Amino acid sequence: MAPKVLVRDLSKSFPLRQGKGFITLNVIEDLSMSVDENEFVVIIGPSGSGKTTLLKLIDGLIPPDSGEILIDGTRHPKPGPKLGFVFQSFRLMPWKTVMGNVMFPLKLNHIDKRVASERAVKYITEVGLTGFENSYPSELSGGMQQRVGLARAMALEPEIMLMDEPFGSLDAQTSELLQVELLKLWQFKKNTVIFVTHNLDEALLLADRILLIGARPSRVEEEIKVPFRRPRWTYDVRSELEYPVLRRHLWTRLREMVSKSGTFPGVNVAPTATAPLAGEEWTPRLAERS
Amino acid sequence: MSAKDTVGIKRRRVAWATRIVILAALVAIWQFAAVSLGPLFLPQPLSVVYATIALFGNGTIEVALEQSMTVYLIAFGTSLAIGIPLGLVMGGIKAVGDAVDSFINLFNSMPRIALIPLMVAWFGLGVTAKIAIVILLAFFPIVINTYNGVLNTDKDLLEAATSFGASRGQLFTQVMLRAALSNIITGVRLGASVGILGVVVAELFTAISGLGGLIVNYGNTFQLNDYFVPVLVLSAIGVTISEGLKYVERRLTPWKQFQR
Repeated sequence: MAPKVLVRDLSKSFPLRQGKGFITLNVIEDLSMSVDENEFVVIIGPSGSGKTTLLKLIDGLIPPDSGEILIDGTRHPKPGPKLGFVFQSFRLMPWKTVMGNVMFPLKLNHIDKRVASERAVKYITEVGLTGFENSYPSELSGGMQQRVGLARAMALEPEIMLMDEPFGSLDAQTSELLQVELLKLWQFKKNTVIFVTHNLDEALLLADRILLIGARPSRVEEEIKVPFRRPRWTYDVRSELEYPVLRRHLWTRLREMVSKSGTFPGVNVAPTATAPLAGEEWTPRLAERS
Repeated sequence: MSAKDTVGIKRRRVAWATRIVILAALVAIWQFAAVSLGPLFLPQPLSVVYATIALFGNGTIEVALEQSMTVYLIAFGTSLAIGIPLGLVMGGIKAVGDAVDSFINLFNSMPRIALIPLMVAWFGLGVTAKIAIVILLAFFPIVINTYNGVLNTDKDLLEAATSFGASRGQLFTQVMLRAALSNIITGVRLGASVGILGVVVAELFTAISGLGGLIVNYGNTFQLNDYFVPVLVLSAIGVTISEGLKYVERRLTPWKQFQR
């Protein structure tokens, strides 16, 4: 079976201002990976390793420098209803109600209004927000806001869900709750999921396969098949025999990468530029938009 | 929800009670100052009330009000009709924004009152000149705030909309316009209050007319009882307009009520 998402030799760098000049920050270099249809893949890696950048590249939000991304064998993905994005920072439109937010992508894609509102109600119900249709995001807790984010992405009925640390900014309890709900939602409506996190337990609970990504410039360092049987919410995955072994292995690998990577990995100093500042945190930015 | 409403009502009651106390204190201070300074320097509140009744009774205020408001509404309306679309275009099309922005800033930082003689030279002393002066003052805050509102749209929201397949046009109409709304209203409010100032200034500098004209006439002839009437009428207009726009803002941006 041809893979749903195929990434080949992907590279992406960003210019980074240093003093008067610019240096090139290689975020991703020669990264290759593939995801099968209806597979739940979790990408895990040290912070700043270009995981978000990778998701944006797969979505087609930003173009790669080199290499290619094929979705169903088609090159150059474009953002659209085929791909649903769930963001760490929720990114709900503050001026829209829950209903308005879930309907928003449908409206953008010119889906008939009646169909759109039926679908919105359906997915609002599925994420357990019935009764909050007319609330504004600012009236909701973080967990509820991300439920809206989930419903919004699912309402497009995308073939692929791209999830960028969706539960990363929630408290531990809420995030565990939502992990289980995501498992259930996915079980009954299988689609392809690429889920980015740096939470090992989250990765082990959710994934069919974990891709371990190294520090900048990132590539896939290791691939781990997660053996736990599904559905996983029916038992305690953490009490499985392999669980601590896998977790320790992942943790060791991550720690190695962080310590090996030094203070400012992936930086090629251009001739005009001054030396990079040690320890400076770098976050990928949205490509230049006019 | 009902608990929230009750809290809101209670807070509003406290606010109104405080306002009334402050108003009473102000009137008391005024009364005290008037008595100690004498009627030549400051009329007593009650004399101003009598003057108000008299000037409304003989139609003086009504005529002046009509003159002033005609200038104001035409000029403010024109400023809105040009300022908002221009600000939107500047924000939506980067090249236009970059090109026009510097000129807008140039005019905005200029002391525009200095241009009044120029307006008089161009348009004479009549209504046209007055309208031009008010536009000169009210237009810029409207354009600048609209432009900034569009420009400062949250990049994350734009990226989210893009990821759902929004076209450039949709990004503008569905995200930028909505995100800019409260800035636009702020611009309109600033423009409205500067516009009132503009009307008075225009009526002082061109052919004497309207409420500004009454202020000059009564002031120059030391009719201080009467002088306070157009001043208070202008304040009342200012308050009414800004409260009205606050109401409009609350209606247009209901989600803001919960952002505390």
